[in-house]
Amino acid sequence: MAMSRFVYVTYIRATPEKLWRALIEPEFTRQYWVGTIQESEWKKGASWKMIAPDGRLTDSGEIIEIEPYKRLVFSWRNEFQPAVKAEGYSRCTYDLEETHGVVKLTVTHEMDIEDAQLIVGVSSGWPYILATLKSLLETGKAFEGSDKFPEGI
Amino acid sequence: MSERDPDFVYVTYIGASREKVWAALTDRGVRPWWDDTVIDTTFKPGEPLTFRRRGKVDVRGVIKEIDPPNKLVHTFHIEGPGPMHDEGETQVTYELVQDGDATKLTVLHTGFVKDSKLRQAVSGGWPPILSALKTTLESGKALAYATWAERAKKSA
Repeated sequence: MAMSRFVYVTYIRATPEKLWRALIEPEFTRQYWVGTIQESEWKKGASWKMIAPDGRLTDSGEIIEIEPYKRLVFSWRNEFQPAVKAEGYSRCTYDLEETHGVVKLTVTHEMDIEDAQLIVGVSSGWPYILATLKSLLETGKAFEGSDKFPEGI
Repeated sequence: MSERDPDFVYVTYIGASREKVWAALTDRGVRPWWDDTVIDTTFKPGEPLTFRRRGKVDVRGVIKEIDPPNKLVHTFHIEGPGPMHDEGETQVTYELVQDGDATKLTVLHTGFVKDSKLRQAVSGGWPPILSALKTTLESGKALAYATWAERAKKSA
């Protein structure tokens, strides 16, 4: 088991297909994931990049496992904070499970080092990102400001 | 190794005022977003509290602290008989903080014994309850609930 680990479960009224698209496609992520987009060919071994609205690379990694609408595993390294980047690669997993017209989404973000700063950072980030994503899919509107990259980062 | 299981923490953000989130958390009617659970209490410090579902008491506790619409603390003891009852009393803290147009809601459940069955059960229970609360307050429609009841049964 990984030495630093964050797990978050949320239930979203959507189809697995819609939620999957919302997690990876720029037209969705721009609206709620603080304006960022992700670039990948979304197949095993492909590179993965997260890009800020100003074009900077914020995070990068590689697709480890992909089963559309069900499971995605990818490596994730921070690219804009030198001390966090030095920790190396974490591993992020999305598991989607449809139940009673609702999708149970489990996000597991883990790293094989103790007290990883990256995991501490994403532990406060994921609840907000997944809450505004849930609002976007269920009400058509993400939280105000969740389309903007934080200033000073 | 610690002699207790770690606390359970769940944070979510709800597109509603603290007052609305508080009103939902302290609503004494049937709550579809909590699998039709009813809370019976006066919400005064030192007063008892029960969670009742479909006529049956699930949980008993005592109000420890109440500061509308910011903070509510109560003890939480699963009704017996059963192994989760035998684990004794735990504590639940709700904290509400305004965050822009949204409310940041933190639920902290503490006081689990080592290898707690209760911790396992509530770890499966809080996410669907709080997901359904968010959906209810934002869209007026509750989420389906069977998942939570099924999980609670499995881990009982």
